[in-house]
Amino acid sequence: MTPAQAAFVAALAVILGLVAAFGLIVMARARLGVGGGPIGPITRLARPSTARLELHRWAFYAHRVSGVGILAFLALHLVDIGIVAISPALYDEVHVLYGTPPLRVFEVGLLAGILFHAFNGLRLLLLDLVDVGLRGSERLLWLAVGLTVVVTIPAAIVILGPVFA
Amino acid sequence: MTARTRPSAAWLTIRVTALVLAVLVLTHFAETHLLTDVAETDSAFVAARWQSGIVAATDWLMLVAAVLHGGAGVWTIVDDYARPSAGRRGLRGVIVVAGGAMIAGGTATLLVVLGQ
Repeated sequence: MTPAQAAFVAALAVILGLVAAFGLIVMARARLGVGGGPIGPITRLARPSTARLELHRWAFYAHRVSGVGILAFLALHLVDIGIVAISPALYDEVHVLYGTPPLRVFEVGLLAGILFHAFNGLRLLLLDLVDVGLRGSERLLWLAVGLTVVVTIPAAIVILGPVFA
Repeated sequence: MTARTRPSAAWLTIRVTALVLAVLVLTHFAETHLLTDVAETDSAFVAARWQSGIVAATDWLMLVAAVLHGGAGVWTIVDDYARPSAGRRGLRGVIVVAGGAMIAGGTATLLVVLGQ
């Protein structure tokens, strides 16, 4: 691995670590001050389905963490694309990493994050404009999750294809 | 009965840019990972892509929209998790500086490659 490639991998590792740390902050904050005192994520998951707002709370966490993750990747992406302005050869040297199996797996995860953030975000836009009620909002959330899965699977086959070829 | 409140600038920024990004980002990902294999998107691909003024302009719009959207999102997160304090003002300053650097850096990349 060349120094430039090692720097890219290190930056990617830092970004993934920051996103994981942010996820922990979101979860830690969620434990505080939700009607009835602190409550852990496991307890929260075990709540009966009649506590319908719980699902929306998880959607909120997923939206927030995926958003920070996408923004963190954008920062790295702007740096790696910036290299092309300095030296196309150096850009190609770093860019080779994007075609490696671990990065292809990362790209599938990135796509899943982008798709969930996009579909759930469009749901939130709609909720600002139309009153569909709590049940309607829940159905739209499942639609966003379903669309994310349905689009990610065939895309994953395309992205990961060269790994198995 | 709740009083009608004016939407915050961050709230409005997130929603206006969201519509732009929902189209541009998904198109961008499809172009660079599905229609083209990622291994093919080398420096020659980047240079050829920006030969089109429409593509270059669309990418620049996507850059600005993404930074505004992400910046406003992080601004909201900081407001949620940090009480009004010098620390919060500092974090807001970081958002403005980092966002400005991202737009400036991305714009510089585009201009340099277009000039080559």
